[in-house]
Amino acid sequence: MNAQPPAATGPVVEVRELVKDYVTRDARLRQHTARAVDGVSFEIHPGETFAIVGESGSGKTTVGRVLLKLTAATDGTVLFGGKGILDVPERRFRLERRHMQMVFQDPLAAFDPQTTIRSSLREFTRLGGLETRTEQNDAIAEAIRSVGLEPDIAGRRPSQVSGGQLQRLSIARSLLPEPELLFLDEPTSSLDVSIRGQIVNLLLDLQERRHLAYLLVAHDLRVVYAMAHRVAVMYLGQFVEVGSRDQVYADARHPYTRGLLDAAELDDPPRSGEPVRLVGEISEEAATKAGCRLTLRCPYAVERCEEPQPLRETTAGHLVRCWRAVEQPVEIGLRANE
Amino acid sequence: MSVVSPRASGSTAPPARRRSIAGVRPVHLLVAVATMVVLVVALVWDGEWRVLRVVLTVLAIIVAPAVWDPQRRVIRPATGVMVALILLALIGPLFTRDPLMLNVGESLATPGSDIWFGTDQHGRDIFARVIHGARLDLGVGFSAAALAVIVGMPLGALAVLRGGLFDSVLLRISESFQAFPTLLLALGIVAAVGPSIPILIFIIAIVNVPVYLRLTRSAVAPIVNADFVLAARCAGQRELTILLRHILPNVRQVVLAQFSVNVAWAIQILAALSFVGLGVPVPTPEWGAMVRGGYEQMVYGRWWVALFPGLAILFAVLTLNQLSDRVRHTT
Repeated sequence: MNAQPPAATGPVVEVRELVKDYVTRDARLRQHTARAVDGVSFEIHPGETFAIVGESGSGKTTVGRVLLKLTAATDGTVLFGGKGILDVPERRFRLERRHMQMVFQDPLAAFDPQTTIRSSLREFTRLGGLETRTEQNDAIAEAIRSVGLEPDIAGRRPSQVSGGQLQRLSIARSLLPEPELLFLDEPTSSLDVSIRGQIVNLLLDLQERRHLAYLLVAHDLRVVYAMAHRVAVMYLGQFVEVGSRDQVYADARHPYTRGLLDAAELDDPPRSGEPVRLVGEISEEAATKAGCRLTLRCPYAVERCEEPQPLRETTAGHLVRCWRAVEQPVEIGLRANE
Repeated sequence: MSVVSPRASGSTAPPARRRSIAGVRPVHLLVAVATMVVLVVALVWDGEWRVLRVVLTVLAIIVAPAVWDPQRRVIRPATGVMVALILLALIGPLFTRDPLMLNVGESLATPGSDIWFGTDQHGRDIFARVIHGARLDLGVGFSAAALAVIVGMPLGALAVLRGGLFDSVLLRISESFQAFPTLLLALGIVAAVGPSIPILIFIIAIVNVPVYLRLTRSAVAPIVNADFVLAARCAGQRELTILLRHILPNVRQVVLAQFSVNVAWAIQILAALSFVGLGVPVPTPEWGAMVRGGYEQMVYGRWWVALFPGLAILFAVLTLNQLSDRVRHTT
């Protein structure tokens, strides 16, 4: 299920130092800037799942939306198939959207309640270049079959279909233009627990057959473990730990990652290091700090943590934004680095 | 007016349960009997106006499905009455006497079997005038409200999409319109420009544009960032297409409910303007003007001159309000 990422022919998408500010005005028209994404970099290869995990408010969904140009970025670059897309005006980018699609958290919200499922899907076949009605209908039927449903469901309205079926239809819809990248925004979290596994398996199956690149955003660590090849842990707009799935799950270095994993009480895989208990809650005031943003919640915080913290490599491909995890692993309850 | 329930085509709708004869409720019988009566009268009656037979038959055929909701098995009084009213306004005037014909010899005749609603002080047939008035009042009401929707709805949606200065300026303008008492504003404009039917329609529409603008704006605001709008963007749809195909249809319900109330309100304004003498020109049959012409007669016991047009206003306004309620509660 979780083989090594296939040999790369170059990444599908490459993100460099992405920044997203949300500007709001209060009653006195003073500007307030909230930095939702603060210098995020990663790339995703064909057939690979890159997962971003973190608490609500960490900015993980914003990364995906900026990547798909559904929200304007403040700074940074996104290379899609080697070409920068952030500066392309919407008018010219419209048809380029076929290369990157999105699966929404709540499938009921993702379908227009006023139209049938067929007409919702038809819009996406047009993006895929199908003009005649028969071609479109064939493609729709085929897409619905590929997610394990019967094509006659297309005549219904979204409210007449169950949540699990609707999420399958949402996946079918996003695959109609034959994209290379799929942004999965919490694809299972609005579904019943009993259905989550089916959706995860469907997504894994589709990825294998079509060699899709997934950007998975989730806070369910089990789903991430089942799907991801590489995982980034995000906290207040920054990646605090990036690595392969096994590096992050079995050998978590950053206190935040360890706190998340311990809170999730996963039995598998076994973890090294002492359990970490985070105190308090995510607070946006810390998002403007130069130093480590976790200090108020971290049991290992010391004075030096207030200095700027770069992402540092511990082992190959495993990056951690915590100086103690690199320099004093034993003191914070970890095995020494090899 | 949507007559067929939008859910009628839904394939998961539960199959209609077959009821035994004992299960038929009184309302069902009532509707069935009423429809039958109209049909029978239409076929059997051999009165003066033969055309009326055809008309009544057509009416029964058209009105029956509008009144009867087969899916939920209920009668829809408001829709039915509204359809009947519109039909009456459209074809009714063909069968009445001349509403303008003066007949001094028969002035102020009491209502009777030949002159149903009586005559006014100039001997004009009040029944004919009320029916002709329906055409004018409903016509002005609908066109004024329609004009207001056509202008106000896109502007409201645009205000949300553009936001910023465009939104603020539009809102301030509509607020300054709404700051005036509407009837006073209408009075002022009519006094300045002079009354004529197109101008009346235009004025009533203008006064109503801010209502639709604000209504649409507040209804669109939560939808603009909905996931299905994002999905449409992912599908590479143009901004205008998204607005027309996804955003406006989802606020249709609210606007339609307002539209219905608005027609009633437009009729009231027209009647009010006519009542103070600034509405339609004098001999034209219009409900408000007729009430104005007849209310002095009340003192002398000639109640019918003002009563029937007054009832017509009441009936139309109540029906439209009822219809609005219905629209709002069907999703």
